[in-house]
Amino acid sequence: MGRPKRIAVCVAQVPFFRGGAEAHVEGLRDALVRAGHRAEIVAVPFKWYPKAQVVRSALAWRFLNLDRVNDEPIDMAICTKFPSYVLKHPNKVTWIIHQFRQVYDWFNTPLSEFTNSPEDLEIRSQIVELDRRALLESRRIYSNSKNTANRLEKYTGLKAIPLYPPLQREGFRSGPYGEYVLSVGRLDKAKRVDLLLQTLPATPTQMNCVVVGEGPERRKLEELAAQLGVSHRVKFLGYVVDSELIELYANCFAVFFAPLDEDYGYITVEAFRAGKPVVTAVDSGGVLEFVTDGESGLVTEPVAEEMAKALARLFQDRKLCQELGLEGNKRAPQNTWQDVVETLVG
Amino acid sequence: MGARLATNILICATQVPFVHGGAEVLVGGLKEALQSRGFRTDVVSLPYNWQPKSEIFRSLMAWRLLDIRESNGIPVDRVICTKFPSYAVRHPHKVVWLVHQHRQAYDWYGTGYSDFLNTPADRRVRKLIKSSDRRTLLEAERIFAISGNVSARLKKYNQLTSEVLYPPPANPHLGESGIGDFVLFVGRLDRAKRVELLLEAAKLAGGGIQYVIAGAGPERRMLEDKAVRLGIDDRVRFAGFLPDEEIAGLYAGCRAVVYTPVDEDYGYAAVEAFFSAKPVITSSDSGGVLEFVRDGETGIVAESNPAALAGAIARLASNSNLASQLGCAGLASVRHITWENVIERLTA
Repeated sequence: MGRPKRIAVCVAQVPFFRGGAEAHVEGLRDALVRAGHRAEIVAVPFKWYPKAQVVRSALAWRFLNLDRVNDEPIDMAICTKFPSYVLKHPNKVTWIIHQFRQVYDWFNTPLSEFTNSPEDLEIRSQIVELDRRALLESRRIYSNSKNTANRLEKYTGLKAIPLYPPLQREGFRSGPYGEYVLSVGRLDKAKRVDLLLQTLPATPTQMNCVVVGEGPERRKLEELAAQLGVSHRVKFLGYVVDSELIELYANCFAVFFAPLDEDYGYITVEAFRAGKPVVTAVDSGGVLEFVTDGESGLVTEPVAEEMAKALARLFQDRKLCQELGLEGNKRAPQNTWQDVVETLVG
Repeated sequence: MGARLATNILICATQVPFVHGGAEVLVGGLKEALQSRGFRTDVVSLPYNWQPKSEIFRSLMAWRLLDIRESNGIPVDRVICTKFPSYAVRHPHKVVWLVHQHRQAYDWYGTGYSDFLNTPADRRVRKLIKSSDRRTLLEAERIFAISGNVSARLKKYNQLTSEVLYPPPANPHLGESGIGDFVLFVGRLDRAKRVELLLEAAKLAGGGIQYVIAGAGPERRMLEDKAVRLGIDDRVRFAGFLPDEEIAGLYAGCRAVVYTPVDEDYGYAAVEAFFSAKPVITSSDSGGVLEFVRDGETGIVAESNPAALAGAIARLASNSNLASQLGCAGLASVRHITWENVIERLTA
């Protein structure tokens, strides 16, 4: 390793909320410190409504100066989530974990507030322009998956090198292939846990499902389970502590993870570490970088009938579950935080 | 519609990357105190840069561009702003607990601590800071200041009135346990703390007295060299940056705390010493520290020269009864400084 550096790790903040991005930058900061550098997180609140505030939130980064502080240089800025990479710094490395998808792949879909109206188009072009310019200033651009890199190239013409983030939890183990399928993640629309519930009427009645996580959709999902008459087969656990989650992974027969075009998807890798197959959908994005149908899991159309068949097949063939899960574990990225630091800082 | 009870609170802070001092301690303590009382609390902290001076306005602009009235659907009922320029943020329910302004443009102006010169360009920047301070502070529903000293400056330079609200120490391990032998300094090792005065006094106060200097900062190397030059390095231990528990242990085990900064805003070290029932030796130009240390009652106030300080140190070193007595009076004088009181007033 070269001389220790002073490094600012930049991230967008949504006050009161802590999610994957926060854990991610804290992991990065800790890894930098372990490698002998000095690292500090710089977080600026991001608000995306009303739409014009997106641009203002991004501009706030432009007004910061992290070149030198208190008469000492900051050697490097590692920027992550939009709009943190709008920061100007002579040695900026961007590790994209999110662009503002509402103006890119989600544009003009129900997942986006942005439509074809003249006002929206104007704000959209401002964001795209800012993105392009800010990203171009980076010494190097990494992304958290091939999927994110492809999207970046498609919409901005810029190339990024995929750099998978290490897991935030450790200690996964493999136990018996039990009676339940596990779903882990934030309960929002894009995670499509409703698909999982809709499979239950068409799967063996001994098959249960455990849903871990919180989110705006929880109430609706519980109601859906009741409407389908399958409440007795679904457990909503909300948040659970890591040790409990590891047990849940260890004892399920498969993991359901079929979000809509996920950037990366830690859940896939966690499932594989526990030796479990992943049931996902053809449009789940980054998940498909590790899950291949019939090899490390099952991949179907994002419709309940197909998903139900896949789950039933696994439920009835635990040997297959094991084969797929073990193969998945071989394919899951193995890079550590130490590798990440070496790549980013060099 | 009745006023909504303030339950969701954002604390606005100023970040100077890689520098941690009293302001960070205050913000951490405030956050914890709010959370433990059931407030949903988070900290918003923007990096602040003041060199070159044009950066000051850019830092101000960044705060102005934020919209923190709501966060992902959660209303922000109140913001509590602390250090310049965090109080430039816009919010309909802004409360300021002023830690300090940009002192280079105010009370430090014309001293060696300020990088402002009497040039047209610098005069213009000072004027803009002053008018921005006045305007953004006037947007606040209430203004508190962390000390009478900070409050008086705000009155003198900006003609704004504020209420004094002392922050309690954030270190939960502070406590008393008899009186020890060594003399203690706790704080950041920068110029304004004048630790070199203590070293020179240590030389004059003579042998037999041990010193512990706890803290890190840009002056550390210089101070260590100086201790060697003065031939007192065998009696002075530079302990560096220590965790709270060890700091509390040092306070609990010392004879007296020496704390002689230049016109300090507040002076955590003095309050922490008193919570540990230890007397404080300070100097007559130490600012906020003098709101707590009363000469002959809770400590000794000396002139800011080595000889005067040495006299004070020798007096307490040779008289442990006096040290105990002053320390106990110090403890009694700070008992009213509680988070209970602070939270009640900031959220009223």
